[in-house]
Amino acid sequence: MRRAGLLRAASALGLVSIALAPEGCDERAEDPCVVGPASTVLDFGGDGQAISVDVVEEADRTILVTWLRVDVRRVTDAGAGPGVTKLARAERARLTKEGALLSRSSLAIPPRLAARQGSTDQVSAAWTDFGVFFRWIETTTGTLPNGQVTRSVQTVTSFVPEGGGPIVETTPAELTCSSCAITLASASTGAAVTMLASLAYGTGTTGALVLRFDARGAPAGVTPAPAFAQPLAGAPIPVGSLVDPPGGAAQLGEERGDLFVFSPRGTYVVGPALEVRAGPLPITGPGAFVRFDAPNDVVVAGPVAGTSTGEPFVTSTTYDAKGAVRRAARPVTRATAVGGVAPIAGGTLFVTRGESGIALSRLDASGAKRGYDVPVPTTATAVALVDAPPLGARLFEVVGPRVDAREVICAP
Amino acid sequence: MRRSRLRRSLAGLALALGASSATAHAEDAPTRPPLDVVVAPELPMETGIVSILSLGRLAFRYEDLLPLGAARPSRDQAPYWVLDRFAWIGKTILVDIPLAGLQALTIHEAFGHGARARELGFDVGYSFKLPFPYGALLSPKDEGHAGLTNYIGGAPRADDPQQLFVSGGIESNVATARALSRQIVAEDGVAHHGEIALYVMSKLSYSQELTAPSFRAAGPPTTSSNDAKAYLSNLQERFGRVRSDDRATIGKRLAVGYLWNLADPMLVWSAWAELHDVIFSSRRFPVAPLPRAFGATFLPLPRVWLAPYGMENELSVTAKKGEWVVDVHGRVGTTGLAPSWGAGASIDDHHVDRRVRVGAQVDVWRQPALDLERRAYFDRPSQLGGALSATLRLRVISGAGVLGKLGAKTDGYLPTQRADAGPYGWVGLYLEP
Repeated sequence: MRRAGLLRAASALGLVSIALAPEGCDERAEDPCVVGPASTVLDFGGDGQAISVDVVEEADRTILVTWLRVDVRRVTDAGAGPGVTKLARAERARLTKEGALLSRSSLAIPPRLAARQGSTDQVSAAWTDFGVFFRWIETTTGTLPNGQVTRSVQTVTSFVPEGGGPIVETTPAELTCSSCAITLASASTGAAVTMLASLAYGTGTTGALVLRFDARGAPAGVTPAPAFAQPLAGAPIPVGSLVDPPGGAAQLGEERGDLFVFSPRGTYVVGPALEVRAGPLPITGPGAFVRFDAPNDVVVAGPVAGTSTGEPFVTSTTYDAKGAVRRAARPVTRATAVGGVAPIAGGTLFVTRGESGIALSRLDASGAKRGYDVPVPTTATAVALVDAPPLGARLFEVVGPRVDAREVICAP
Repeated sequence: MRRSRLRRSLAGLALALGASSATAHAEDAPTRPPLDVVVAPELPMETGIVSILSLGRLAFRYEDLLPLGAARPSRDQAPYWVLDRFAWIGKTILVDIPLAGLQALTIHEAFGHGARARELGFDVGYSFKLPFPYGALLSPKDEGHAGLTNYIGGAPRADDPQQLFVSGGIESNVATARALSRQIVAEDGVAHHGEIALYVMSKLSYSQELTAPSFRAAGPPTTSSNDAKAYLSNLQERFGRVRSDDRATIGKRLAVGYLWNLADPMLVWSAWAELHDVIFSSRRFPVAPLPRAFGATFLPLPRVWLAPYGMENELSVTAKKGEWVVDVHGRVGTTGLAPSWGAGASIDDHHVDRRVRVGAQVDVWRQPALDLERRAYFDRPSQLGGALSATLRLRVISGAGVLGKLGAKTDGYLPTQRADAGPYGWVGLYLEP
């Protein structure tokens, strides 16, 4: 072909290539969900700093935000000195799923706890429908005349009623001991408080007890914990040595009125006395999230150990109440923690936290991943995801001294 | 040995060297391709391949200074011929192999991994170890990689950029072998033995890892500095196939698909040429016996590309008739994770007149959409794409000139070119040796 002809051919081909859309000749996939702007629904405000903020969906479909308020007081000693952080109050706010404020409460910590100047561990507060249930461990260390160091622990529970009234305080005899160590876990459904105490003794013996309290903090029974909630066996320690906390102590969680036990022996959905409602389910590691939709649907989503090229893979598996697999593990994304799981029309939505920040992932009804991860432009330290039919979900985010909410609209 | 006999032996050795020197240029050096040095913003893969191939040809000109020649294996020249053989073997092991190895390694690291990292906006650093045989001699216990490319300051989070970076090294080696094969056809089969060595090294990049039984073992995706294993792990994550048996399945498909790369007649000829033509016969420029048909020479060659969505097996046919050098190629995905295919044709350096040479290339493909931003995008729509480019070589003065390439492409994976849509190309200078 002559040169002129070559140029004409090249020009024609060039025009054809320019005419092609830069993205190619096929449709781009649409975003699986669209994240709306965040709006502040709660400002912690007040004096002091809010810590231990937790956002959960309750059984009545409201959103409960709880936090502890600390005061940072300056200890003067002929001048400026170091600041001392002191727990001051327990606070909560109840929101609708749309983010409207329903109620807000603030209660001072019990006087006995406020008076402690040290040797106080495992302080926790759980809200019931009538007030705040505090629990903590007081440790007393002494030295015998022969030089042997002794340590005794005492568990204290203290219920502060909302609206005033006498504080209900208990020191369960079963959780007072010397030459022992106790690990506590507690959760409230609003109507009752369940506390799981894992104990280790110097002889190497371990055990666990379930203590139940009613909504006003009054004891409602003590029973041995079921086998799946027992800690791992320990080894005897030399006389005079301090006892370490029991290994494999189970953890308790609560969401939408259901209690969850996470232990090295498995994962369970339980009732107030740790009676099994669903399980046994596989052991879940840090970063996992379990969603129970009664009576027969459990979704376990979490990072899978060993799947990592820098960040573990998150899979989602659906079980029935007996722990049988109903839908095998489906890949969701790569992340270090799952912050929430919510059903949406035609599938399931997950919020995860990973190296790229917080993102939403969607699986369709068949369990297949739909599209790609949708990043959420937030610096939230805690999140909660709730379904918001018909269009999608709502994401609550704890961002510094406030709680934001944003809509997540998912295309059908 | 008596002194008189020693003197005669030394004289004989001097005569041998002298005779070798007298016959050092018994093989006339053929006309070689021009020496090209090309650049472009961010120094993409192609600029490194073109330039380093040329620099390699320049480096091998050291042979012009050596008194090594083609002493014939006849009875009267037998001692000199044996000495010449030892010299060639020694030169091959101590100079030529390291030189070719350094070319392959630089292309792999700086213009493979490095080029993809620069394209994607990331900074990298390199570490190189002593090439064979010096590494084996001077640091025998050091069994690490011959070279490494590491991110500095941050790595991509999305899936496709990670994979492009990982596979970029092997990609550049495959492209180097492709460029050499086209050059050999354009030169009527003539190749410098250094280029043959480079061809073999480039074709066999990571072949041991890809064919090892451990590559097909079950397991989850794991971090690895081994390009082949990292590629496999990235495929698992790209498609959400993280079960233990998924890795075994994908690994097996990759290993089987890779065998296509080894069914390469040029590899077979390269081994023969190195042993017979080069080491036995001291030929610096072996000539490949290219098939002929209809008045043209042609060379069909297989190769594999490690695309971000799986391996693509390609067959190309480069043909030369008169002043025309044409290449046609087609590739198809064989890993079974997502369907893909590609095809293209090119005209290489066609003489328009004594000052101008032009070329052109067109490619089309259909493949899963590439996405340089998103994560965990397992199932993607299939996308049609294409690219068009032209090259120009213009002689400015006698023996030298300028050259350039300009093209444009749509989104999608095209070996050696940018992954996203946009223009590509380079400019440079050339020198005719």
